[in-house]
Amino acid sequence: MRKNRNYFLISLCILGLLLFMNSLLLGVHNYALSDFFASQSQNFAIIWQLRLPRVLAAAIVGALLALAGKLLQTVSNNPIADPSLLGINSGANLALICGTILGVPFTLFWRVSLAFLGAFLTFLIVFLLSMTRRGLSPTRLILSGTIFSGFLNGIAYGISILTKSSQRFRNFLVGGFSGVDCKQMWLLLILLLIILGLTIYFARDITIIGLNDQLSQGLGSRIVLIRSVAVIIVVLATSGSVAVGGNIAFIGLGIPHLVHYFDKRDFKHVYLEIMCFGSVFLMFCDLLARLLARPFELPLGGLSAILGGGFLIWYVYRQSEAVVA
Amino acid sequence: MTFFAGQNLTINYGTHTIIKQMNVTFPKGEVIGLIGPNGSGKSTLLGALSGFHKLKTGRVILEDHELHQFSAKKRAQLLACLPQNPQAPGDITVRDLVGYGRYAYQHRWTTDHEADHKAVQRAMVNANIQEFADTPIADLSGGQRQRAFIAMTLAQDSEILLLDEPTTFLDLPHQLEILKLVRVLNRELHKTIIIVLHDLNQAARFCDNLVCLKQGTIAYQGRPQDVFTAQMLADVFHVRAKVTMDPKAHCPLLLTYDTI
Repeated sequence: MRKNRNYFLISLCILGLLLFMNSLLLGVHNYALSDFFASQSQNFAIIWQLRLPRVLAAAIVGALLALAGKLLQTVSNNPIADPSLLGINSGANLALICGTILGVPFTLFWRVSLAFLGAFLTFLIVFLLSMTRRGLSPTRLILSGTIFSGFLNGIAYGISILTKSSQRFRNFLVGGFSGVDCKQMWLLLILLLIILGLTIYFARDITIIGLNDQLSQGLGSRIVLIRSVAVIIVVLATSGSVAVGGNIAFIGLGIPHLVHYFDKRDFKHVYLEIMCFGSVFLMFCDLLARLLARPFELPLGGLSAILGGGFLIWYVYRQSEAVVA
Repeated sequence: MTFFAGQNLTINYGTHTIIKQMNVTFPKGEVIGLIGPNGSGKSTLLGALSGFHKLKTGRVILEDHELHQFSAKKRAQLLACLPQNPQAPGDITVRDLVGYGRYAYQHRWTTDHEADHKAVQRAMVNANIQEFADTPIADLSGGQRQRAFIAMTLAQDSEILLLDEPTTFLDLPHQLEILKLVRVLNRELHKTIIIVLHDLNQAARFCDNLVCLKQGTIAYQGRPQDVFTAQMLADVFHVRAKVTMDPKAHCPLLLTYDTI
């Protein structure tokens, strides 16, 4: 049994590498393997300075969003939790839009700070709305998150229509990686390292708070501390992803469920698989977005939602008799 | 030396007082039953003893130290607690669930040690659930599921075990199975077990010491043959009852009863 599961992770990694290579070479123009090393040619520059940041950004954002989804599902004991359901995406979005309207410089530093601020404030409000006298209520978390994110989205759309700037925010609203540069790639890489480090360090603790509160407290877990760590990881991962790639649906909700189909173990055993699967999925979507309607690009957010939605319908259909206990 | 006790405990939910300035001592090495009507504060008391509920006043003493002086993991090594209606993701196996009991002994960055595997195996054998080690807990029956959770608390290797109504939702044979397991854990592994029970006859039969709660205070405490009386039942539960002696188990037995 254990061997099979390792094969799953290894095959995901191989699939990811293959996709990564293909994503670098295929697109509006296709390149040959030899262009990787032809340091004098223009193709070399395009591959390393335009394609690489873009593909790497897709891979990292896929991993981060999938992990964020699984973390939220684990700490809220709720299988349908997702950063976008909790309004974190919308908060980051709205902060970016407001910042731009108010004339905040559109540099990487400001984008990331704004996205982080928006994500964190939103999560704080949603979190406070879901607190009851007996602690965090998972049902209230989803309800208040859904309502509040709808509210924020309404404001965001309103602003972009009133200021006739919806074209400029197209990337936030539909999501996508065209125009990602090296700086953003480095930012995501650093973020990935931090988040991976935190997750590996706290993996066992996070697994334990997947039980109900009193049970995990009895096992020696410091629930408030661990839940805060998990929430910080979620907010970091989501806001970084939104700042670079805009709104990308499905990954956080769907990927953990798809991985669950192959590997039913608990958080500490599956989070790497989930991150790899998220990477593979988003790289695949990004490649399709570039290839399907050449020379035009399809909106990535929409594509991932359609593909992922299809996946999820199939998954729910296959699982129709199984119930989460 | 004070082994395990609550001193001057007061616990509120909002403005509502559940436990009022309670003093209670738990004798080492015994099975102690908490009984009392619904809302008398049994589960709340158990939650306070395990450090889960915040105290308004008072303190819980464990081996001459205040409970909150221990780190969370150290406390879990001394005191295991199985709350009512425990929940875990249904797809994990019994072995993984029982493995959670080792959390208090594990350090970050490390993988499970040989000692952890042994403790998990031993806990599963002691709770008689080892044949289902690789079964997902969603596939277990109610009694098996409860034994799997008890095995998890056994893996904590603690001297004290707190069980909140472990027999609820089980049929009579499975209730007896759990209660006999509790007695074996007490007699053979020398664990001090504090258990909330609803069935009074089972409490009288399987406990060495009974703590009778009434509106957040302790009305009676002592050996079943001393406190399990018609007087106590009228006082605490408002039932009129005739108590006799169980000829086989040699413990008090509630014979006929009605509301007063």
